[in-house]
This record gives sequence, structure tokens and C-alpha cells, in this order.
Amino acid sequence: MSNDDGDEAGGFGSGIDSLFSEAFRMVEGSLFDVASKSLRPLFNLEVTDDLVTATFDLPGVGRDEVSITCTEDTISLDAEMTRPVRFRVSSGRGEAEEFARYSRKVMLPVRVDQDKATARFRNGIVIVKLPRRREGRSVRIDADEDVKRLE
Amino acid sequence: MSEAHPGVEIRDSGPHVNKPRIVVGVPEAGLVGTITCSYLIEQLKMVKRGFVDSELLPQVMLVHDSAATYPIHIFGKDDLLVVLSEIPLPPFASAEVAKAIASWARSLRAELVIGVTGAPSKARDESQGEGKPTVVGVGNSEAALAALRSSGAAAFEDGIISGFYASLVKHCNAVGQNSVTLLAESLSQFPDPAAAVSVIDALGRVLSLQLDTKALMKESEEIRLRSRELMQQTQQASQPGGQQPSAYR
Repeated sequence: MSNDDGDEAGGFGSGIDSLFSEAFRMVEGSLFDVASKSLRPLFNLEVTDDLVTATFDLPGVGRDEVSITCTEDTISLDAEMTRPVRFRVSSGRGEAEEFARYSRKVMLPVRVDQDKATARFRNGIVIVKLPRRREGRSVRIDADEDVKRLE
Repeated sequence: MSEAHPGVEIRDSGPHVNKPRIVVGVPEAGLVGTITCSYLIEQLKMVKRGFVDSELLPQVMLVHDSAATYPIHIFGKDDLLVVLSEIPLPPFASAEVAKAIASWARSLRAELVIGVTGAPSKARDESQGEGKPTVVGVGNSEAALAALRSSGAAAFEDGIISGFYASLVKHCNAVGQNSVTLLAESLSQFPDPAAAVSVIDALGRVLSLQLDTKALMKESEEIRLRSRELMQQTQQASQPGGQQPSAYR
């Protein structure tokens, strides 16, 4: 989409993006990887007692173009875009860069059972669900005096 | 016109409007407020008439063709004004900006202040943005509730609103300014143009304006792509320990 000339209200203009990246510290890093011409998708991770849910936002992608690989502590996602998009990544002057795919590898904070992963694609959003790995061994509570009294 | 508010300046160069309706959008859940306001400005060919500035905001100016502009704009057309922020407001600044907008609206004898935003919804996240999001409304007076009834928004029965829009309602109450807030069920983590479409439908009924949302639906994918960074910054700004006003570092 071309930025409307002289209209700074659009909010989605190409020149503006890069300004933001200087103004704010990117905790999660850049959303652009110029070297590999890939976009890092917006992404959300939710961890509950027994499930890890990872959600990726992939506008401009069809379901057959998404490939997901899981290990016990990572999710890797790659997806070709239907058509390439152009963004100006650096502030000020310079040509807009072309991006044709999404790519992101996520380190999980807990271990998961990758064989039981499921994924669903809808409206350019992918949800990956991974059950958490059952780990550890059970610990017996000593049958000492205190415990007996409680029982 | 300039309003005396510690730390916040509203510069509105006019022209004078009788009983304006003021729509307010800042980046929050689903970027619904910013997508809605950007679209209004574009569709109605609104004209820039001022800005909001605050020393509490991150030190950012937008540059387009070498011209620097403030990131919170005021646009106008006929009796409609739009306040649109292109940067996420840090929590501390957001309360002060809301307060200044409420007093400014009152000083213009505004008929209605209309906050537009998203209500992050687990169900919508789970359905991956499928279907048409419902809109709920909140009003602060009889007149505001009457406007809401005309919007077709469902009643907001129980719950809370938080962040900038809660401040806006609170300060509108404090100065006796009629206000409504329209909240579309939205994705919690990603830009949600479909939620903006729902809000615009409701807004059109409140304002008695024909607002065509076809172009917005068509551009939906493009908007999601172009607003990725703003979404990321909005998430970061809302987190504890995120962007703080520089005076509090």
C-alpha cells in the first residue's frame, strides 16, 4: 500500500515504522530480518499448568504455506507470503526492503511433548497447542509422627 | 486554543464548531481505536487542525517528507472532531492526556465524546478472529445512554474498563461532559481490523453518518501488516516496567 502523500494520519505509513523502533526499546527485538528477507511475526505465548499455547499472526499467508516444527523446547515457524510486501526498515532515506516470508523460532520456557502438538490455521492466525511434558518423580511424605497426627 | 493542564498541551487552531462530536482513538487492545480513527479521517477526508502534546510522552516526533508532526493529532470536518494517537500512551501519561481531552471537550461545549476501542476477548483469540465481533457500550449520562441506544451496541452489563478509556470516562464525568465508549470484542494480542469494522458500524449510527466499511475490510490484511510495530510497542508500553515517562526513570 502506498502511503497517502502528505497525509501523516494514516498511522501505517512506511516511514513511520522505523521511527518507532528508535523511540522504543524493543524487548522482543525487531520484527524485520533484512538479511533473510523475512518478517518476524507477532507472536504470543501462554503457559498453563498443562498446556503451552503459541499464537502467530501471519497476515498475507495461506494455510498451505505454513510449516511448523516443534522440539521439546522450541517452536519454529516458516511461511511464504502470497505476495511480497515492502517496508522501509531504516529511518530517513533509503529504499524499501522486500519481504516474502515469515520466520520465527521461539524458545519455550517449559518442556513440552512435541509428539502431541496440534495446530490450527484461520484468518491468517496460527494457534499451536503443546501439552507440557510430565516430568519429575513423585515424592512420598514420610509417615512420621506429625503426619500421623494430621491424619 | 490552548488549555491549562499541567504537562499536557492541546493546540487546536479551529475553526470554531458548534457542539462538536469528538471521537477519540489511542492504541490499545487490537489497535481498534487507532484503526477506527485512521479510517474515519481517510474516508471523511478530515482536515488536520491541531495536536495534543505532553512532556510525559515518549520523546517522539513523526517525520514525513522532512516535516515533523506531533504524534497525537486532532482532525476535523463539519461538527466532527477526531483525536488520534499514533503512539501508545504510557500509563502515567495516558491519565493526564485523557483529563486534558475531557476539559478541552467541555470547553468546546461538545455534544458527545466517543471513545472507541477494543475489549480483549479470550473467545475471539480462541476463534482466531472468526465472525463479526459484538460491540458493547458504556455511557455516563441520560443523553449518553440515549446515544448508545441508537448505536445498536449491546449493554455492557458487568465488568470493568481500564487504561486510557477508563480515564477518559472518569474525567468526562468530573467535568460534566457527556461521553460514551464503544468497545468491540477484539483479539487481545494482534491488530484486529474486523473489530474496527464493528465499531465503525455502531459509530455511524451514533453520529448519523453513512460510514462505508467495505474498503476497510478489503484493506484488512494490509492494515495488519502495516500496524505490526505499533502493536508490539503497545504491548510493551502496557507491561509493567515497559515504557515509562522520562521523568520517572
